[in-house]
Amino acid sequence: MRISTSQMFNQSITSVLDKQTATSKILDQLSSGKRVNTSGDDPVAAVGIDNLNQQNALVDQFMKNIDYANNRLSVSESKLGAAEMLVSSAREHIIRAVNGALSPSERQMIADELHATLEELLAVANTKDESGNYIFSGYETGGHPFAFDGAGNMIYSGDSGVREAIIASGVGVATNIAGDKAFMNAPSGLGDYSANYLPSQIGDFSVESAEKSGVGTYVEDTYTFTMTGGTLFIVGASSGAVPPIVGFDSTNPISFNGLEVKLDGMPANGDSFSIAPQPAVSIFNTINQAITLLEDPSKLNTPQGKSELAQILNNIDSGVNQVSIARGETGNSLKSIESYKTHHVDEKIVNSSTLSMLEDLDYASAITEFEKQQLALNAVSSVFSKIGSVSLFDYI
Amino acid sequence: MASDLLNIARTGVLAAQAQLAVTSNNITNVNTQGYHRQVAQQASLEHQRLGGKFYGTGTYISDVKRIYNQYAERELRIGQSGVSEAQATQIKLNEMDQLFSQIGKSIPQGLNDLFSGLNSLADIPDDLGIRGNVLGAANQLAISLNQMQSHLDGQMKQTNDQIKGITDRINEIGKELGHINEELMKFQDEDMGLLDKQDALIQELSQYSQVNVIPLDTGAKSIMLGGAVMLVSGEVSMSIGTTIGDPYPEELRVTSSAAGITLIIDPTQMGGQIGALVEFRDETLVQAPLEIGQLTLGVADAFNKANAQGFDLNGEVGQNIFTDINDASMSFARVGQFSDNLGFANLRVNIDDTSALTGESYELSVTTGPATYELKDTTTGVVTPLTLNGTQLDGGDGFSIYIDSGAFANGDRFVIRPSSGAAAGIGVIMTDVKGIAAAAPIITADTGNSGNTSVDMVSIDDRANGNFPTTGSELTFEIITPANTFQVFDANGVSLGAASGFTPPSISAHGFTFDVTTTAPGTDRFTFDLSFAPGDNTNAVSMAKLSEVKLMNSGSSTLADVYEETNLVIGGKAKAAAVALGSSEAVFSQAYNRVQSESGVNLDEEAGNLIRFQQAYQASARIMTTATEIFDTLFSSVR
Repeated sequence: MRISTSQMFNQSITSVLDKQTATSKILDQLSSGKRVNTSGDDPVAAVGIDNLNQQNALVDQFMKNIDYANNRLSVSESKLGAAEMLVSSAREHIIRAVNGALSPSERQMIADELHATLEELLAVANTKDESGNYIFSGYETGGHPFAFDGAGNMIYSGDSGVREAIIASGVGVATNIAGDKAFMNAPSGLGDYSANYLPSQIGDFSVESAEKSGVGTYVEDTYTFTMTGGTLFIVGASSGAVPPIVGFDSTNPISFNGLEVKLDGMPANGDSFSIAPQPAVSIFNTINQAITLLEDPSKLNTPQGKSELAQILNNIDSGVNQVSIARGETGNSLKSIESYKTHHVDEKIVNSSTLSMLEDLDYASAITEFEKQQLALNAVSSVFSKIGSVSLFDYI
Repeated sequence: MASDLLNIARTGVLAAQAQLAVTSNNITNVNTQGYHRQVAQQASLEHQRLGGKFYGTGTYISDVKRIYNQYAERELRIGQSGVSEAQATQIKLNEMDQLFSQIGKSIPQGLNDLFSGLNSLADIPDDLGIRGNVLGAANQLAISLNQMQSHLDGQMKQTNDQIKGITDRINEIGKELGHINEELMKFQDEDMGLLDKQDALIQELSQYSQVNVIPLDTGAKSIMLGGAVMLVSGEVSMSIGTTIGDPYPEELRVTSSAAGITLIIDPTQMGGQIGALVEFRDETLVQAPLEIGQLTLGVADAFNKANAQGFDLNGEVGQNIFTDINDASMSFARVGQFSDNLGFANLRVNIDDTSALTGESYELSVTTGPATYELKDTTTGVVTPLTLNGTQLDGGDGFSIYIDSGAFANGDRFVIRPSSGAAAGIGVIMTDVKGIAAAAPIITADTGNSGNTSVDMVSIDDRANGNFPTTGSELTFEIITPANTFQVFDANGVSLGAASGFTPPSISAHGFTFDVTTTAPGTDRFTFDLSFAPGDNTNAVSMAKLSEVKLMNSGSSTLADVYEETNLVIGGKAKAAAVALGSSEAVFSQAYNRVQSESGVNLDEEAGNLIRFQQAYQASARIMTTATEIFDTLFSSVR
């Protein structure tokens, strides 16, 4: 075949340019460390790369959310731990006070200690986080959640709102414990009611439980019990009298109007007490009642005082439980987010290794390719210079 | 006889001189564009009969030929058009690929940042700093979308400028070729210099468009662009040009003018660079912003709707974060009206459902009597009949067309691009960081509801209202849509008064207002708990969850997916263009080699010829001295 001079030069130059383009492409890849820099480089791989990157962004977000949740839950957990200790110590103080041999001043001392405990507990319940939001107030993070009103009753001004953090696809975890759940709504020690004893009480008895039994139609009311002779008369404040129990025996539960009341000890003739609906009690109120009881020098040794103390002890047990349950819940959440975190870390490792297979440059082969191109470039250049320098004109 | 010898020598010297001249011309034109090597053809002179014998009388140059193979040249032109078209396409798509893969990354990134901000907001819903970050991220996302659109607009302008430049150059070449034809027609013989010049011009022309060459006498050539557009006919050259697009002025159309008549031509049939550019513009550059627009509408709609589901930090119903998707600034720009429409209908397009949007372009054709409205998807060709309800045409893919004023005439056509202009028009209109609705009301539909009716909060009018529903004192609305009445019950099921009427869609009662939407009338009950607390993050969590929700393309893509899909389509096209370029380069180089191997100058060959003809010259000259010597011998013998 006849070759024209410009064809020869053109061919050489095209080869050199081709090799240079290939080299520059490899240099690009070497400098970015990526085989696929734009989706045009490998549209098929780009599908996977885009999806994996998006998935990784999502997983990163979940892990960040887990960090947020972890932060919140850890603070709640430690605060609830402190609260649990305080409540337990309050319980011990009260049990110490049961000792009838204590002098009034000793009791006052216990009352003072209880006061301090209550203050501390209140401070814990009103804890703020780093941004000044109350942690035990539900959604009402801006307002002081726990305060005693004038009558010494605890008022919770937060709500039951529970914030969620998304920690995995479709999985939310609660990041706060609403204050009412931890400190307000302990089930009443008696069940669904609380008992009211009268100073005139003679018999040594207390209400052990007063619960809805589910047998018969439940009528919610305040009931007054009066022992006359061997007969126990029961009168509902609005629902009226129920059939009296003749020959009352306190070892048998009292059942009426869908309620079941159990007594511990036998009321004496003429004794009267009442029960009012109260399904939930606040640990604050319970401690406060205990303080009031202890500060009354004479009451504790009366049958009324003993009965009240029994109820307080029941309620405080329930309160301790309540705080423990709340603390346990945070603990469980912490454990579960930890396990999600492990899943996420695993997923990210898998994703990243797939991503790396798709888009990362195999340096060994890239460098080999680079060397190959360099070699070819050298060869083409040197052949080019030889061809260019040989001409018949040199010989004439 | 000796005098003949001198004569023969003279013809030899002259022929060798001519050969040397042709060779020298070849050597000096080795780098001339369009030059075809020339060969001097030598023949022997007529023989003379002397004494019954024929004697040669020397030589002469019978012809100087230009080595030209019109078939090879034709292939070269076709190859040139192919490679130029592929190159122009590849360069453009490569730019787009870079744009989407590198600059455009800020869009999915911005979306992720926004979601990240919302997750932080879910952690501390009342933190003004975090709220600022969320709004900042939203703003950044809007700016990224705006910038993407302006990059694409820039591409559009640049491509149009290139198209204009090419038509100008085509016209110049056409004029020049006309002149050359005129010159060529003057002479009987072919002027090889002019022919080479003509060839170089046609070769250049075939970069811009496919060229059809019709040979005339004495080397003149008529030229057609593609198969239909006459550029040069004999010595008359016509022109092509550009005119504003219809209905979109920025989408320039190419025209051809001859004898005062201007016609619109389809440049994609012309191939070459102009075909590639117009095709790239119409197929890719018009489509890409529509898809970015689809994403934009999805983003704006999703976040605006989600925000309206919640309460902001002031306890009010959340307002729009982004520009409303049916803002007048955008809804009118979605319709393009053809200039030959006879009616004066002024249309606007409202987006009803962003998930049903396709990111396509449609053509609406109107026939009056009987009135039919046909919507054709210009990509798939699927025709959907629309129904006119009042002043509204229903039945589009997630959008409806409103006749704002005027009326249709028979045969009116409109281009409908529902997602057009969205990426340029989007912005964050929320200025108060408290406006982000992190909290949410609790609105519960009764389990016995038909499911055809839904309610949307409009406003909180008076939280101090005595019956305002809060936790523990919720209100239940029994809405009877056939009669448009409602009755309200408190938490204990006690009616707060007899049923009263309302004007759809709004019900305003007990300190708040909500809208009722129904698809089938019936009686439905909804319970409202509208209590608000700054630490409520319910709606922030719902918004953060949008990152995973397949909101787009009829529930098959997330927001980020829409961008990725566009990016991948562009990437795929870029890759295909690179492959096409490779193969067309191979075709071109084959044709080039064929032409060069026949018509190109080889310097070594010419050097050989130079020696050969120099020797021939020397030999002929030697004949002369021989003849002289013969004379001398003769003279001296007779002296």
